[in-house]
Amino acid sequence: MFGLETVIVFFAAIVCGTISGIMPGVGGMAVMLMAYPFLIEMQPHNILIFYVSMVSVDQFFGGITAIVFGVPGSSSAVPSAMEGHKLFKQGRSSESIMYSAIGSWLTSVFGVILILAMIPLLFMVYKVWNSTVQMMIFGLTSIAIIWISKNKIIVSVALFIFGNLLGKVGYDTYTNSSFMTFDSALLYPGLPIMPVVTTMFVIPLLLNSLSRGAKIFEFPGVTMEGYIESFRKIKRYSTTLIRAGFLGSIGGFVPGMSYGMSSIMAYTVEKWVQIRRGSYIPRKGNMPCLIASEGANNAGTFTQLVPLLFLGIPITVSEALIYNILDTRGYPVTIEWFQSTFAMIIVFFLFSATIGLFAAGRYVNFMKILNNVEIKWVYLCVVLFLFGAIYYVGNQTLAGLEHITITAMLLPIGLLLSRCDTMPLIYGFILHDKLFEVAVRMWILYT
Amino acid sequence: MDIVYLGFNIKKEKKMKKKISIILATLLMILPVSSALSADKVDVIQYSRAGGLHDRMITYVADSLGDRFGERIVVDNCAAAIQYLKKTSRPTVAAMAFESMAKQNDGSKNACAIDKKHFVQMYAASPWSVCHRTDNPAATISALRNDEVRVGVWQNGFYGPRFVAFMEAINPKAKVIPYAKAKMYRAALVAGEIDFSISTVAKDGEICPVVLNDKLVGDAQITASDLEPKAPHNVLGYSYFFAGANLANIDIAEIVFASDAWKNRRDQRYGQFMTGVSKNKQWKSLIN
Repeated sequence: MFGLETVIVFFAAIVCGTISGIMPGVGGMAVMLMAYPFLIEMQPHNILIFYVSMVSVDQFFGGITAIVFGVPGSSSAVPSAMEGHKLFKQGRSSESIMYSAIGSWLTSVFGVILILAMIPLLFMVYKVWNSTVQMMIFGLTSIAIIWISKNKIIVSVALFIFGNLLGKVGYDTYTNSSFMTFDSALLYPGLPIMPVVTTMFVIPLLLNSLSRGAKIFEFPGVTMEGYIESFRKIKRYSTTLIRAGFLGSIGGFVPGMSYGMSSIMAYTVEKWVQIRRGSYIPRKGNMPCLIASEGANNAGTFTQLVPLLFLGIPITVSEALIYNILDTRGYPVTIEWFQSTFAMIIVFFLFSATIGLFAAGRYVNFMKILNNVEIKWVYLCVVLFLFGAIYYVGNQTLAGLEHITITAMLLPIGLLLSRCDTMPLIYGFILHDKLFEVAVRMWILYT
Repeated sequence: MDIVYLGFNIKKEKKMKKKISIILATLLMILPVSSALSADKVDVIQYSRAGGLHDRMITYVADSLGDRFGERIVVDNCAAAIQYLKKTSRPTVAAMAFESMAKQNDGSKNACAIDKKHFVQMYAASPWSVCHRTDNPAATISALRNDEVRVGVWQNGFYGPRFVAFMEAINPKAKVIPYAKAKMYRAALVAGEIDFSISTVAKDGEICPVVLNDKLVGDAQITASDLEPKAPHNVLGYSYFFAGANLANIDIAEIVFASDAWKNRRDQRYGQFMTGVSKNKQWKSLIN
């Protein structure tokens, strides 16, 4: 069953996961599409190995970029950028990276164990996953996001609504109508996520960061000794890890949530716990919150495979792509076949997570090259790089200039909001379609 | 011996820089080469992020192109697909849904409507069916007509109101529950939140006893027009057409329909649509 192809596929997945983790805007789906011509030639089990290894490694590298540069590679890394970069500015960079990497590895293992323990009960979970439960989860998460923000409640509510409105801009097939497009072809496709996150989250975060903490980029790096020491000490965060692992695992495998939502949920719950304990200081960043968001991400990356493996339901676009490849090539896309790959998936997931844990440590040491550079120049480079990435990603669909134009239009609003905590806005933007859809359904169900 | 200058350990940093340079150089080499290699090929546009039927429909096209397949261009929605078609200079094809030509609710032109020059020909169509899970004994045709059942439908600005009107005529006591994605139907059917779904493709563990068509299809037991002749939209299907750019010398339809990918498609309910009808008449049926 396993041969040279499996070995090549596995290492290619490690490289691809590294690239998608480091580069903002290059998500797992983009890598899957780039790899599509190769995937369609592979043995079916190798396609699954490629995917599971790639997303596993991606999570480790994505977290580092968020912590060091304050740039979330995807929406799921927004909390890591928020808390992690503040810790970085407090001189706790090495500690943050090591704890979040080890925490992520532990929650990956937690996700595997939880699913193994829950196999007999999995079908029951799907039986209770109805619109009411979804509305409760989305609703409580939204309320918690607003509640725990450092803004005044009214400001957070306004930002959350504004984020929802930004999300609704464009043509909507659900309503067969356009919203705030002003009859402009530029706005019909809607606002892409990268310009919104860059202008409304990254730039305000970096501007806020400039005036606080270190002025010089200082990163001592991570060492094997540091990893071992952190591994020993991480038990102090065991309740955080269990909470994050549980929420991440659940969020990963229910349809309509995905691991991005897991991360948001785990972060929100952890922040609420920390605020209640009085240990959350907004300007300093919070280690348990960082560990929770990073850990939930990783637990969710594994559990999101469960609907595909046990019910034959692909719940992410990448999984749908895998499913389609197998299907069109006439491979057995039966639940029995998927289940027969489960043990193999677990082994490769854990193996790639372990490689991700240490490879991320190696990669992050490259960043010492920036030591002693004034942080404002680093930020300037980050922003310029992001503008370049926005153009590049947009240009993949011949819309580079449009994406830059949208960025320029949003930038003044982002600058105006630079004194606010813009996370409610970002969450409003990310959650708007889910919230709207479930709310409509609830209205019909209960009226 | 380590040489430290301006905080940089020159020896170590040189090694690191070399590694970074090799990685970047490899990436920079791969990207243009992959673009150049696909210069004469046909790209396909995927505008649905949700996976499922549209993905499969465009994957049949990609697979049938074989060596001529270029790149899969993923855009956010059908409006972005139209913008892409207008700008690209490469041979490109998309499988667009029929409703993208319908006017918006306020009467304005649909943001996803194509110009005639981008219309290639009709692709495939399937009638809608009323389906339920095989393990739900309460989901009978009698229940569909008389009980307070819940029917899950696709939350779509064009089809949604038609499903509501159809169900109101079939059974005024039924509740029509909208779902944004087809995969949500399955979870809702499993969870028992809905009793029936209106779908074009039956999934594993589901049967579709009522078909919104003038003749029986698949496992259907009755047509919707036999069930309720006066129900509006009792003959209703979902259809795709090919839209493209720079395809002057490429007969996409012929390539797709002759391919094994199409012959062995999972969605056997979807068949060729409006074959033998002139392109002009096909276009007219779209814009009307």
